Amino acid sequence: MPFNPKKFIDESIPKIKEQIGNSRAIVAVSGGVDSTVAAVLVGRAIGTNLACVFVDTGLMRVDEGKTVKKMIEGVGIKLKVVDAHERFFKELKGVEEPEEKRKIIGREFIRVFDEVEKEVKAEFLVQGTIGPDWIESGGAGRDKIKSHHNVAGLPSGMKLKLCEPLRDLYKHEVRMVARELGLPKELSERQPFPGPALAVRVVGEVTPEKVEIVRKACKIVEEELENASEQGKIERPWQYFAALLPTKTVGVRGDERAYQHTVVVRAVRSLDGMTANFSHIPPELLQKISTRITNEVREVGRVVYDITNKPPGTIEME
Amino acid sequence: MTVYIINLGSQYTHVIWRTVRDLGYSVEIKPKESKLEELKEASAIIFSGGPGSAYKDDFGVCKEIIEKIKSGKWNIPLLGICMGHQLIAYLFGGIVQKGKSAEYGIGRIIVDKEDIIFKGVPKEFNAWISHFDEVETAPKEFEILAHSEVCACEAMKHRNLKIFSVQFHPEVWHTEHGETILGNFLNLSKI
Repeated sequence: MPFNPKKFIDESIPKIKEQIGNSRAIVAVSGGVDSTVAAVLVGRAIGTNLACVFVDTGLMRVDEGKTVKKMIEGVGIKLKVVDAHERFFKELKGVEEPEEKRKIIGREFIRVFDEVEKEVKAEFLVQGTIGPDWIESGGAGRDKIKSHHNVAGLPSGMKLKLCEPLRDLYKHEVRMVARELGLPKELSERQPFPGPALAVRVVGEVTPEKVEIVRKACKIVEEELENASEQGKIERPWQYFAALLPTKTVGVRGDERAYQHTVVVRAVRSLDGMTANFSHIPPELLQKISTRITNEVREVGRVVYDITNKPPGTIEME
Repeated sequence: MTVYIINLGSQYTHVIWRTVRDLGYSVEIKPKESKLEELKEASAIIFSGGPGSAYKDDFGVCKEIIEKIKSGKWNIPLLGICMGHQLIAYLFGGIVQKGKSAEYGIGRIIVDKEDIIFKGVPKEFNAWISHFDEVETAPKEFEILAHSEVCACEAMKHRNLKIFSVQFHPEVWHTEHGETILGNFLNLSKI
């Protein structure tokens, strides 16, 4: 029997009611499909006992905060936005190792939630954890591929109990649930975005300046690939973005020597994120993306396209 | 009756579970530390892949499962995937070792011998593969069913028993006809 989203919803709501009872819960939404579906399901189960929080880490994409607020409030959930820019950058200063970065981000998220928890007196933390998150985080004989912050980034002394209604699902199944719940297309079909956000798209140390470079480059990649797919020129990739490599290379700009950053563009085709192949983007489109990035993001002097499948690569860089 | 997946630590163990469920079977993931007794309701068993080494590590109940099927007391189909495939080869006396080249991502499978598990599958197809160790020499009681450019033993079957194994990953979306192959294997649990 293929996955049945209606049956899943009908079975999940009583289970969530039983787990949370009359306690209060907070849900951390990122604006992605997983956390939003988790929020809507739990909202249907426990109503106003659910408080919904968006943490603005400073690692988000262009206008992410505004977009998320509009989308979440559009489906009838009241959203509290917490500005945590400074503390995330402060904690990440000088840290290069990817696992360390992911752990710091997980820990900071929990610190923010602990503070919110005191205000709303929550006992449960709802997360949109799905299959690949806990699978890649290791355990039961599995190698740890990366610590998804909502699983392996959680500190051991955490006070909140976890409620993860989507644990056995994969992205394509979550999207089916989102459509069944009547969520708007811009949400149900939104491309996946990593929990640690742009921090894993800056290879090496994260600084506000580097995040700004990658933010601009991501916006260009999104615009160009979304336009091309709307015009029917390409199949919309499963996930598409730019990342900043810790390598500077030499270039020439207006007859002057330049020594600038390298950006990698990645676009992949997948169903569930477990395996992926690089998207076969037409050269003219790659050229347009490359030219726009080097014209509009003045710190970038070279653009490369990632032609690695998963395995052996992962979708994101870190 | 249930299909049991013995979890040897693969990233795809849960994906095998999902695919078997989608094919309409009752299915459960079991740790390798399980007791044979806990598996007595099995209609079929699948060994997942994993990060370990077939010839170095301990794989708990797997050896007992094979012994019991070999003894003729247990007439259930068994499938090994990736390292599960290597483990079956090793436990039957085949040679498993590092290949000349690793094989990660896309690979072309060439079917050498038509067989029940490749029913409805073309002679050549693309599969997703992820390994460095390989079955260098298949055990005597087995025949090789398929190869790739890099690896001579991509699929094999026991000559008399319902034991099959594949080096590639039929459970993942990127493998063409993967669901058909798993479906063909699971059909054997109904006979």
